[in-house]
Amino acid sequence: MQDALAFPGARDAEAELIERAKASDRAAWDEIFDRHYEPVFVFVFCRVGDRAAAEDLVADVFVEAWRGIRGFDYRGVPLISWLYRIARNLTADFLRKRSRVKVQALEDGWSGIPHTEDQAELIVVWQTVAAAFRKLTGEQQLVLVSRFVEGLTLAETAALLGKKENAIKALEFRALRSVRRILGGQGVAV
Amino acid sequence: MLMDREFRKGLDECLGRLSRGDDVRSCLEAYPKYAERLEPYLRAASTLRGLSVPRPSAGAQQSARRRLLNAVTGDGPLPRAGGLTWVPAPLLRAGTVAVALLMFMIAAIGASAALGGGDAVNGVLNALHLPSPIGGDKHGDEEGVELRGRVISVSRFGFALLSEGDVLFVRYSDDTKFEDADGEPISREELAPGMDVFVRATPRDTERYFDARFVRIGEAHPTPTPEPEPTATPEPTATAEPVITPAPTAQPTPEPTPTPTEKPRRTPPPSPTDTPAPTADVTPSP
Repeated sequence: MQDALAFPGARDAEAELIERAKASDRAAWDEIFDRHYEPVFVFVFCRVGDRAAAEDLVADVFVEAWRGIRGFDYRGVPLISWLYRIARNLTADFLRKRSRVKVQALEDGWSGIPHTEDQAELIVVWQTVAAAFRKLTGEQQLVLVSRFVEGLTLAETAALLGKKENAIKALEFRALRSVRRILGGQGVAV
Repeated sequence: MLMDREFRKGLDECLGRLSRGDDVRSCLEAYPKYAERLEPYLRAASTLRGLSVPRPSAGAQQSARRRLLNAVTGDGPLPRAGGLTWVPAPLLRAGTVAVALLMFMIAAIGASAALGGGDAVNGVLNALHLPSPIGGDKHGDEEGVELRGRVISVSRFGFALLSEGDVLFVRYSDDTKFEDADGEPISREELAPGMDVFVRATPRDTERYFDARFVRIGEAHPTPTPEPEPTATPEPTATAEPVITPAPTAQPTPEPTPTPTEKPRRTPPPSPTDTPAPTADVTPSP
């Protein structure tokens, strides 16, 4: 089992980092940002399918994390799980607002008209995948992103969510079934 | 039940093989008994695995870090760079143009009213570049015209000019030159509302709309002002006060098109073995 906290003191290190973050230690936040910016970006991007929006949302996630860190009680579940939870809330809020705008250009967030057919196709696929993801539960989304987009192992994903591997397998099974049905129904080759 | 368990075991193994680089076909060949049931799951997993996630731009990453660290150090978080990203870009662009036009109209109304000679509606019509007959030496030859007047408002596209009672819009062209009264080159940024200028320009599609060839700043304003009637008790005369309107600054700047690149991979997260569930996770409610 690959476990970042398997070596002695690793969990203490995470706890210490969080304590420093609570004390508004700049270096601690720099470290948190370095470690978690990209995974949080990937998670958000998979839900919104829009790079520019994902970038803005991730920036908000870290500011919200700073605002709420004093209430965070670390009990072994990694900090990033908490960041994902903030990201999920902010993304849901964003999607609610966006849904009020009826028309959205396909290329929004991809900064202009796609240059190649491949790029155009990728945009279509991502928008479809993101729409499919949004129909899953939060945990299912996290499992799919971790397992298949980021390539984490079952054990790593289980650690991330603070669940047992069998629970992750069940989530994965149901999520794959749903995604396959949604994507298949929308003409994306699966 | 047993069959289901075997199927799930096969699925787990196949997903593991996919993650190690095997393709769907070879996985299915390894489990012919369940191939038909396995295939849709493996294809979905394979599709997700094959998607490339665009990387966040370095600029966005820097800006996010700055916002965070400003918040941490007490400088307050910077405002979001793209706070209206959920608004479609065409709407934002249209909004920017509308605001610019509105500001220009307000300036025109103010200028027209200040002149005393024209009404506010006429000022608006002028600002909208509706053709109306104008006389005087604004009609030059095909090569260009010379305009003298006072700058009302400045935008990044050009400026509104009050000239002989008319409000004109003078657009910068690629080769517009700016000079001071002595003919020395100066920068466009020095142009400001209230300045008297001399402009050599080319008429465009209407008689209110010109392309500037050069703008000389600091020329005495030659627009004739109404002379007061000599009376025993001189009355105060209205002087044209230009309305100063801030120029719109928002400029839609194109961003580079993202190129899908390899998925960012992260280091494995910690795995609690004897982990109690978190008790007080703070999750800001949206």
